[in-house]
Amino acid sequence: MKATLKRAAAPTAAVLLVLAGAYMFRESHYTIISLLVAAAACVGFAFAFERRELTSRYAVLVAVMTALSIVGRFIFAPLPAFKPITAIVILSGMYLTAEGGFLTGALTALISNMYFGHGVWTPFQMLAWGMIGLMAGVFANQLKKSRLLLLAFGALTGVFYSWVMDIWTVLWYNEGFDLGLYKAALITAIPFTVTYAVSNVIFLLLIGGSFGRKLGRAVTLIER
Amino acid sequence: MRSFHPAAILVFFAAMTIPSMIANNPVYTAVSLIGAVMMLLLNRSRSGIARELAGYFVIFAAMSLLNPIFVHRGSTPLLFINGKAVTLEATLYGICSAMRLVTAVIWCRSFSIIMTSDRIFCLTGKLSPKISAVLTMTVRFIPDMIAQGRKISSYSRTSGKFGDSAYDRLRRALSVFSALVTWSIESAVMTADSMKARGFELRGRTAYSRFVWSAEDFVLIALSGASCAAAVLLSGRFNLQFYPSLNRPASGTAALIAASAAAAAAFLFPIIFTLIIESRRGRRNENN
Amino acid sequence: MKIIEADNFSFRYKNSSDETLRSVSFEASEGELVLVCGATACGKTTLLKSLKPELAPYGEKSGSISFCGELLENVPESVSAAQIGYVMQRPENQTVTDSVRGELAFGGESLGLPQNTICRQVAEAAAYFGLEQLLDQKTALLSGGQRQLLNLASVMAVGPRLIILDEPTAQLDPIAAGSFIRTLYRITRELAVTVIIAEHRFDELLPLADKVLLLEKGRTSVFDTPENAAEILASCADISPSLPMGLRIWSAFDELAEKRPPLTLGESRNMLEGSFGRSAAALEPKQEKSFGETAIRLKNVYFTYDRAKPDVVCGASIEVKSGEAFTLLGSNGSGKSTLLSLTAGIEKPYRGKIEIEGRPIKKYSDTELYNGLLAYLPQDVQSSFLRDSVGEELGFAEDSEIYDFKPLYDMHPYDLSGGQQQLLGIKKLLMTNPRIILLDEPTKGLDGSWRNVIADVIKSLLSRKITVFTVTHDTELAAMISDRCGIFFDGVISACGSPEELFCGSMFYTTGAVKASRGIYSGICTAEQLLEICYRNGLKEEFHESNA
Repeated sequence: MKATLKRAAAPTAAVLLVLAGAYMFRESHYTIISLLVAAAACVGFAFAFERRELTSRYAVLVAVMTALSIVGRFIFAPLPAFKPITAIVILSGMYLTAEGGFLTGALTALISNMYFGHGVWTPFQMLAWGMIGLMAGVFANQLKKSRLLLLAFGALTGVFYSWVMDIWTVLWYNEGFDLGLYKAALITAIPFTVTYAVSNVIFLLLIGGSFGRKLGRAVTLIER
Repeated sequence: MRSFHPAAILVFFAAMTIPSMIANNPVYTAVSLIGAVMMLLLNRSRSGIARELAGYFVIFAAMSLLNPIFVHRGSTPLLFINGKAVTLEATLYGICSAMRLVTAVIWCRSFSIIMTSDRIFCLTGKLSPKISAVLTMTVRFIPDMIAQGRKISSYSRTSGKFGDSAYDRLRRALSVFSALVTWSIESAVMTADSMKARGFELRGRTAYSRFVWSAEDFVLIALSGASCAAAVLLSGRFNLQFYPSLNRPASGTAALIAASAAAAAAFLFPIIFTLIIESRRGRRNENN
Repeated sequence: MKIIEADNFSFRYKNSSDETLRSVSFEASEGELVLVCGATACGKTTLLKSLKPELAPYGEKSGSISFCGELLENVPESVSAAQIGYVMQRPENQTVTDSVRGELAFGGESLGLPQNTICRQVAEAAAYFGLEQLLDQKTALLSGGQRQLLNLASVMAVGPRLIILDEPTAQLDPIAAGSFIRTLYRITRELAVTVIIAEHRFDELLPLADKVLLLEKGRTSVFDTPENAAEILASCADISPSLPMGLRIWSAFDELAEKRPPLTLGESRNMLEGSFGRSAAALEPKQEKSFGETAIRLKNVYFTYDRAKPDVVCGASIEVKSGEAFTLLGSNGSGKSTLLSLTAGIEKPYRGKIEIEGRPIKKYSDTELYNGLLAYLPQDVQSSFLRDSVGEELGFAEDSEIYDFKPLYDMHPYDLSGGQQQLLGIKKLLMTNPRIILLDEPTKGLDGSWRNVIADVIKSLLSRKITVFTVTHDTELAAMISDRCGIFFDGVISACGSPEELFCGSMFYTTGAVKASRGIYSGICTAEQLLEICYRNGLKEEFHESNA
């Protein structure tokens, strides 16, 4: 637990920085400030990550998880919003520590936007998915023990992601936070929010169980 | 544009995009929009460009409508829907907002075209060579996984285990994905071996990139920084107020025009600079 | 100078009761090319990995391995990372980065070298291996051969003294494999880099090797020059089917033992011409088989993946009769796999007709087509494994036809040997009781003895009246199994005929037996046939005299 906390310290500090920044500059230029702080959080994480010891196995597995979440987007392309991204980010956090979860989430956003187009929203998306991975890593032990908890976590993160990105939409559009617009954004996004939550649950249900086994196999293969 | 160092490119686009997002002045936004479209035309291949621009117009139209429908501030009602006022101010604000948004989107589009993966890795490499390595690995896994996913998928269709129904198709997609996960982890083990064999776990990793700095890069960064700073500093003077009623800033009309003109001019400098470099490049090619 | 030296090295895996390697000793000097050979699971990979500290397996060791006079345990990490290169079987799994340039730079980056040094390394490696044109290319777009060359080049970029390769050409087509081997030979001669390579087919490699190390059940059977090792190699049942044709004839006749073993094609032909009689110039032709109705019919089929590019298949026509074995040969990237997936109904032609048992393929539903009529095994057999254990793949079936997998039911399909994986794939096809089987490169990555196993399995399918349509580079396999062969070139199927007609008339698309016997005997295209005719003709008089 102590080790987990230690590893989670850097990303958590980054997140606190975001919140502090958002509060300090609440009077003006929300969009820019929140954007810069989100970018700073990701940069801060990168610095922290560079200092740790990195085995090739760990690096490759993080890369594979990230690639899988993006490829999943292609495989399930015929089904709109039904995507395994968040589920994989969660699994990555559970099995590859909080840091791995954050990295998988953040890199998924960065790289999938290489294919689908970068935007000012990129740092935001990076932070939102990174946070999901981070949380999954922090609660890894509990999530591994209880299937039900994992599914509930999946549903919650689906809603979380949708709502966070809506905050951003409103901030961007309206130079300042407008509750009316936010409500409108939430309402228009309901079908998406629901699909996010449901698809997270379905993917966690289907690949969550076998995933531990498959990763376990990689570990034995490497030791052999 | 492509000859600049990735860091200079990043600063340039940030300096172009960020003021366009905060400046609440249609003149300034229009200048930025023209710059964005020019940059897009220069860097994008010709095919399908008309359709793409039309797409931006649709976004613009949709976004302009959103504000007056949901926001009822302002003092000049135009009409009432469900007992709520659709105001002139909210409509104008909606149009300005939508223009800002589309401008930022078009800037980002050019950025995505120019900022190829090797340029991004150059930047991340400066930040963290390790993350940069993970990034390039991910980008290399993706096409291989897609190819493998296709192979597994076409085999699974012929395996005789799945029928034609929608349920079976979903079942098949999931089983393909599961097999792909296994395959990916399996091949990742070999990739890990290959990396380890080449010394990935040694300390003090560096990041190689072929992009080099030149004087022009610094000029571009300086110009971009200056134009961004000018926009931010002047924004207090040239930002229009929409609510409760459309109003020019306290400093007066002349100051507003001067500030708008100054900001727009400052804005144009970095664009003109990149265009000069770009046009020379073309000329050299013609001579060859 | 001795670059690497193993002295009585033994190794046992953590959970295993037997030693995988038993007192293996060998050495290699600067610029030597050492070929390591042995049957599947003889300990080749374990030995090679033990030579590379970063990849050395965990377990109990005895004896010693030293690199440049230093015990391997004492070699600093940065030295072993730079100076001992390692290249494995699957080219695509070893590339780490997404671009050719990045891949060449990867080793230097890991060693923490400055920009300028890495830049020079990239430049040199690109120039030496002819990759300059590809520097900006994405690695995913390279062909298998190019990708493996890139793997070699990026290992070479940091200036190693020893390169270890574990079946590097297994996944390559014959042309790419040949050029890869010649590149390896070049670096040993021009740059004095020591190369230790495990390979499964040695036609090309054996004449170039300085030393051959044969491992049998983890023991060194022989470590000597190819000439001196030839006899022992030929006597090893698992190895002999992979040897060059001349060597197999040489070892079949005890009287030839006095003579120098023929390693190259020229030497083999000299031996056939000089030592054997020519009273029987040909074997009697095979009996004409009769076949049933048309099982597969393609008529003027056109197909392309990308509208902007030329057609991959343009106007291909073929008829395969029920119960017939038809084999389509063709170079890499010629589109023959595409043709097979068209026949399997995976891709749809934009023009032309494909009929299965007289009915257009598009009229079948997936359920009708793939349950009892047609079955397809893709080139990369691993892509046919959807489950996590052999037992699940086979539905825990009780029969042991083709191969008895029951003892392996708990294993992961990926953990089987290449040959077993292929057999598992074929066995899975039979679970739907198909009347037509389509096979794509069934012998890819397999050695000579596994090729024989696969050929026997295909023959057993044929004896059950199953139509077998195979696509392959492997001319030896084609000669063994086919009733009829065709060449796929330029988008069309040309030159259909019996293997004898096709191979004996071709210069390049031909088998080792044809190359060795062309102009001496006629109508010989498999090793079996060549041995048969040599027995019939017997050795020339002089040999009998000298023996008497």
